[in-house]
Amino acid sequence: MNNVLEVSGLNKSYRTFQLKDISFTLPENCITGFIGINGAGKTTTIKNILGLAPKDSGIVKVFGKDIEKHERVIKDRIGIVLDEGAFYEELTISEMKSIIAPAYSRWNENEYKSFMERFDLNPQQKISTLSKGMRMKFSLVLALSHNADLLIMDEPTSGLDPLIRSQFMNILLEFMKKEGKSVFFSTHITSDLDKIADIIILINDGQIVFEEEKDTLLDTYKIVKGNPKELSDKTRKLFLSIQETAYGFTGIAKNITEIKSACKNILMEKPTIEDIMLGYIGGDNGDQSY
Amino acid sequence: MINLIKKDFLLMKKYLVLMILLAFGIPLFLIWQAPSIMGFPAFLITVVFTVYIPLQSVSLAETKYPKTTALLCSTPYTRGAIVNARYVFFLILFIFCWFAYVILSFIVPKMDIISILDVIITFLIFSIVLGIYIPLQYKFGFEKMKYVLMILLFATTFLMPSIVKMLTHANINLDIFTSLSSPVRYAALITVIFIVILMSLSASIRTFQKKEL
Repeated sequence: MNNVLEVSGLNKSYRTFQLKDISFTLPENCITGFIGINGAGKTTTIKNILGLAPKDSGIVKVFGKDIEKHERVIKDRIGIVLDEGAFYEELTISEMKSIIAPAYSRWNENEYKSFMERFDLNPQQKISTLSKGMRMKFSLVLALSHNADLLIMDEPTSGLDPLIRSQFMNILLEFMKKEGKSVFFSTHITSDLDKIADIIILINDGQIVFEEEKDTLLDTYKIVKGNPKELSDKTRKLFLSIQETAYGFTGIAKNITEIKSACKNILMEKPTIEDIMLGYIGGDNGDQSY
Repeated sequence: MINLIKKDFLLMKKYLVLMILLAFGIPLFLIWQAPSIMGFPAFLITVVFTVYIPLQSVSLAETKYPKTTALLCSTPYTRGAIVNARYVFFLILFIFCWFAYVILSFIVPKMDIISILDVIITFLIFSIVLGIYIPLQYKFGFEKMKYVLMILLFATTFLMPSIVKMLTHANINLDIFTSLSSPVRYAALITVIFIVILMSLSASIRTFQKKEL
């Protein structure tokens, strides 16, 4: 499987925040969820990938080519969806499209019209009068109407109602049916990824915590519940994070075999991506914040 | 590039009628109120006031919607093309002012056709003022620069004609320049304009390329 995006050794420093040696790869034909809490570095990473923020060091290759050297050719094959749509609100949908569309060599007007009809968007409607959901749909229409091979989306579902989010996910699945398509999708709403993601990358405090296939991730980690009497200092260390009350504990752990042999009366459940994310971000083992 | 120029016109579409009214109205007002300054000073004042509105409206839109600039730079449009389009946009506005002035001079009997030399000198001043201002705006942003812009424009309008007049009447030895034939003189001035624009454009592109969006 080819890699559509390769980021290696990406560093970027700000006064109060830094991306530290970010490295990951995105295989072709996969939806990759880029997760992390607000302020973890998701948007900054995407900005650095797209050259919107000049990086301090590192290499970003898209479709096997260095984006700095082949910017136009690469961007012609990328569909972008930025947080909150990012449009001039005084313009109409049609005017905004007339600015964006000519940038792409493979713009498909028929596809654009068909998406506009499907999403019930009126080309003459002023962008300032669109709801957040409609703006996001318009953003997606622009990203999907030029035969992009890679969609890069920064928090596209943030603030959308569940119905629109569900429609959004279905469109992504439809996009993925074509050969050679890939999606890179940042979000802090991890439930969106439970159904559609193939790979999950977790970023926290400017560092990549893990990059893992979603199914492997969900099979490897377990939510463990039991009596606090079962816990010792040694067993606590086996958990990513743990929450204890007088009546029981709930923790998330990876080393299931070791936990099973250390704690006899425990209950195990399959975690969600959010459980795993919070397990890591909640703190070191033994932390009470899970 | 054409679409990026069109973008700037779309961003100022609310003020398009006002701009057209100014381009035609200012010379008419001046011929009525201050006929003595017709020619170069009147044309300079027309250009400055007509261009001020589009300049402010496109700058304001970009300040208001910084994410749209990020979106544009995420497409195959290069940052250089975005900056180039802005300079062409102002060139078109200048040509429009000239066009309006020429039309008026055919219609209004008291108005003389503006000389090519006056047009070139006005364009030189216009290029210097905007040539300094645009890179600074890319560097510091519209919010920090809007007062500088106002001062620059008013200074250009009210001081520049007097300065040029003063220089014309001062005993500056311009023999070399005046001894040149008109085409050579025009070519020399156009070369200076060209250099000013190229330097400004290069500074703007370099600044915008480093800018965090």
